[in-house]
Amino acid sequence: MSTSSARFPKLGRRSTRSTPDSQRDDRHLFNPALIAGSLIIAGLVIGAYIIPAISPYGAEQPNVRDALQGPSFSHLFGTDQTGFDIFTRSFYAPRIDLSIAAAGVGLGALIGVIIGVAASYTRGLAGEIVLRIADVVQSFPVLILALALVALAGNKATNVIWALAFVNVPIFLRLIRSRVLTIREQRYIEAAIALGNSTPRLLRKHVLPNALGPVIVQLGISMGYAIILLAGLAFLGVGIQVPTPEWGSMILIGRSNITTGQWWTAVFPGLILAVAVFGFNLISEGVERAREVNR
Amino acid sequence: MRLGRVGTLLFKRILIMIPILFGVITITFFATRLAGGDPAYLIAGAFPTPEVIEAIQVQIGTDKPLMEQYWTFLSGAVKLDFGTSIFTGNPVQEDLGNRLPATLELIIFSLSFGLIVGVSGGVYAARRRGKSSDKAVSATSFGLLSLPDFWFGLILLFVFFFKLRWAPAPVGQLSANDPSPTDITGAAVIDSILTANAAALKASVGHVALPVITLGALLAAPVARLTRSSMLETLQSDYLQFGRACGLPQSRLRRYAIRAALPPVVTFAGILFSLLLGGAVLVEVIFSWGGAAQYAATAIIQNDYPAIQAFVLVAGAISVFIFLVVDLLYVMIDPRVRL
Repeated sequence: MSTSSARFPKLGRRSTRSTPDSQRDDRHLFNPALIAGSLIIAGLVIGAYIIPAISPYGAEQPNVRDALQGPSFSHLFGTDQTGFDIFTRSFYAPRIDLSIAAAGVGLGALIGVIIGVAASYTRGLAGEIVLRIADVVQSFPVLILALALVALAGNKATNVIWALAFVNVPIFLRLIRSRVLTIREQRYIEAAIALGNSTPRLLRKHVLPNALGPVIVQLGISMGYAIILLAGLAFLGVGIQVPTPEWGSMILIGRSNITTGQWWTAVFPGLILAVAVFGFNLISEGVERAREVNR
Repeated sequence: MRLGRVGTLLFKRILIMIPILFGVITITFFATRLAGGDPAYLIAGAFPTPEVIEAIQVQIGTDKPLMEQYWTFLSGAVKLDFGTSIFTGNPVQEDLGNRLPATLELIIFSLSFGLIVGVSGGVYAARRRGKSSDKAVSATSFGLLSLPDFWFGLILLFVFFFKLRWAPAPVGQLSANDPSPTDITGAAVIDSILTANAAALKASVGHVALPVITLGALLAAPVARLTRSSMLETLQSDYLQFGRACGLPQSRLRRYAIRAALPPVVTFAGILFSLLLGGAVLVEVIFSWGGAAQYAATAIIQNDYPAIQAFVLVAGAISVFIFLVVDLLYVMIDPRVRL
């Protein structure tokens, strides 16, 4: 199969290094992309607790008399058709979006890494079967698979998390596998075996730390995509449901207003969502760049 | 000789496709089943009585053992029989078959748009490496990666339909008062071309423009980034240095470079197609497109279990087929590949 493991493939770099990642210097770790991305995400997380606290409007408090007001000083992002304050809700949303995305991607990465290491370090039929299953799962369009899983399992946040984990497992599995296969042939692994390390210790102390770099890069990309994915599901009415202050469901509320001119109802939640995804993409790019400098 | 190579490859790939398609069917069945449990409860609605559940179970066959149901599903899928849609009452394969051309038209137009814009943007950026125009292309494409397609579609709708009045209302492939072509495939632009209906072609192109730009513009971003890095690698290669040293004209060097930089983009196009199948669900809903993807979205709201299952299966099978096509294309542009 020619499916790529990452959402956007990078060209193969011919890497000939043999120094383990864990021993390389980290002077270039703090590059502008990484710092900017981290600041954006940190800002959104902190804002998600501060802004609803100081805002005069509740995130789930409708005010019908103030419905469909344009942006003004009292409602910075305007209000939607039930009088929800869009500013408060857009900044409350990271509590829901980021935690669901993080739980789903984290779970998927964890399962993917564990299965991936197990399937690639021990040569055998089981590993081969696992890989073929991952191949087949990856031939489904991600959104459609996630959509069907959540729709059938029921509209609960935990089901969204499981669906996100399910679509992410094959990505991390294949990623870690390609790394482990390279690392296994390195001299320091040979040395570690010669020194009498047991296999679990070898995996934990020598293979995993050196295999995790690309996983961190992929975590950023997967987080960004998971946010778009879960908002897309909510926009279709699947998963997180409408009054919840979540970006996708807010865009769904604003959808009917966009053709009648009340642009702010859908534009602002989507804008904050895009900023969050941008932040994760920046972090991923920054980590990638820091690793590249060290090559 | 060349054809023989492609022929052998085609044969091998089709043989490999059989177990993969089998896997696609199996995963569709077990994933939807594990997630959803017995579809009888889904079909029965909010307040089912045990008798109703039992009657539905007998009707759709979920009272039988799981492996027997799997076998029924598998043999049905092989015969392209996915059961009856609960919502429309038609056989699901007919419903999907009627609507699939409209979706494929949308996807193919979007993919072409995305590839043309993305490849030219990437080539342009690579040739002006380090200049401000390169940085502008790179920054734009990086920024576009963060945009959700459904939101972008709504914004285009606001600007081009509500503000500027350039685009028609989001009512599908044609508005009610537009001249419509004779229905052959169900995809309005293709039908208009097939029937040489100029008025219908004009109307249908007008309707297809916004959804295609929505999907295509966002696709162009990763394509441009990939093309740029592939092109940069090619431009630094020894054979292009040699060509330059021999004094080959710029235009020919560029042609060689683009051709050598394309294989990764072709591979990526397969992944994009699969991504687009998902994106089509959202964009078809926004523009009321009426294709298979919108049918699936409706099926999900209606808890139409057979339709959901069939759509997942068809989407997976189409992706597998596209990956095959991509592999073949790859061999045709890159003669070094042997499999």
